Amino acid sequence: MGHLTLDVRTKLLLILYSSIVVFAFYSFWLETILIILLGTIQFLSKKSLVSLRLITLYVIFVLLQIFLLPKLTGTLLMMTSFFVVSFRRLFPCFLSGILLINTTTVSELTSGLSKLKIPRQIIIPLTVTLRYIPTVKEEFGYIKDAMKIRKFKIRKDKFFSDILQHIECYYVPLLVSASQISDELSTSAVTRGIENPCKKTFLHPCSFGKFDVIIVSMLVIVLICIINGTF
Amino acid sequence: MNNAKLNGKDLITTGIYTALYIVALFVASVANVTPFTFMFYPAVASLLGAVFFIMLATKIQKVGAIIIWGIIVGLLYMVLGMGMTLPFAIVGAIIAQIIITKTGYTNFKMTTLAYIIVSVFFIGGYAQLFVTTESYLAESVNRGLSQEFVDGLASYATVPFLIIMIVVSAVFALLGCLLAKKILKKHLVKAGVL
Repeated sequence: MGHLTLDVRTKLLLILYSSIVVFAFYSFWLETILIILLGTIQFLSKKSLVSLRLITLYVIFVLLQIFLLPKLTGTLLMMTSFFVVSFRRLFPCFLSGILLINTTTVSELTSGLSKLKIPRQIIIPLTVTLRYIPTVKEEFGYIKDAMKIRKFKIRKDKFFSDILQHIECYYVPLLVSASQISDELSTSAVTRGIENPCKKTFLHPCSFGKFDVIIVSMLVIVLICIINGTF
Repeated sequence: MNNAKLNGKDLITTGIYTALYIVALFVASVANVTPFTFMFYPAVASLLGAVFFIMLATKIQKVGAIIIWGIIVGLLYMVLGMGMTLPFAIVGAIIAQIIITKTGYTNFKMTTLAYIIVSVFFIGGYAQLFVTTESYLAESVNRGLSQEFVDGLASYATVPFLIIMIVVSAVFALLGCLLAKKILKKHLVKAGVL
């Protein structure tokens, strides 16, 4: 192996941490520490995973805030400051989300969530949702291609009716394929015993390892430092 | 049938329509660029997502599907940094579920009413701006947002504007439902999907 493998619960904690702590107590250093930490975890768990583009963008945003923003004025300042400051705050969330989605299989996620005692009625829709979003994106691409072939464009003189037609062209195939897929998926799930009421066992049981302990304790230390006002 | 519990098939169907709704939310997030349109993000989102809500409500005629939908969408808002939306989403979804269940699931007008109520509840994500206006704005300046952007936000954080937001959201949700009805009638009812 040689790769870092984290418990699902640690990854969920990372998401929760970056979405709550970063928004509740803002500090520039906290944000940077989290970005570095998440980047390192991504690097250690799968080398191809490192979101170099996002991290580069983050560095650019920080540099922009330090050097460019004091010099701008007016509307231009308003637009750039919104992007540079507000959008940047979402980066820890993005990084931890990418970490969760790319390194966890659906069965690992299910076992982690059921260890947290979350009811099955929420786990199943949640995992289906997470799994289905990439499929929808793929289908979006197909619909776009099909529209290009048929030379569908929004004309300026018939703007409104063309927009409505565009919406229709996206909705109908998505809805039809959704109802088909939900039938197929539930048939396959029922065949595999999703409705069996007995307690389930898991192919990938999750348990805390030493890396999980290290990361969680780091997060706690950072939190204590924030509360004490060190940063 | 009405009192039956959700089975595996229903749960999977709920998940799929929730995924479609979330994609509609992503598409609507184009609205977030300026402070003025930023305030109407929930309205645009509810316009685009209406079809999926109505499909979900009519396909699964059991208690709970809408509530699960509300919880998952609320969780998504939390990950995107609007954690205040989660409790509002859950309360709104429960009210919508009660309305839809009481009227027997197939009443289009009542489903529309339920959707309008949920859409208005999603505005709750902005509660931080309206309830604790001063500290929220002070924190925004602290974070490095430009004074002008914050002034822009401040001029919207008033009661009349809140009412405008609610009305616009409701109207957009209604329009979304009407559009949904048209599309569903034209294509899906005929084809036997619904």
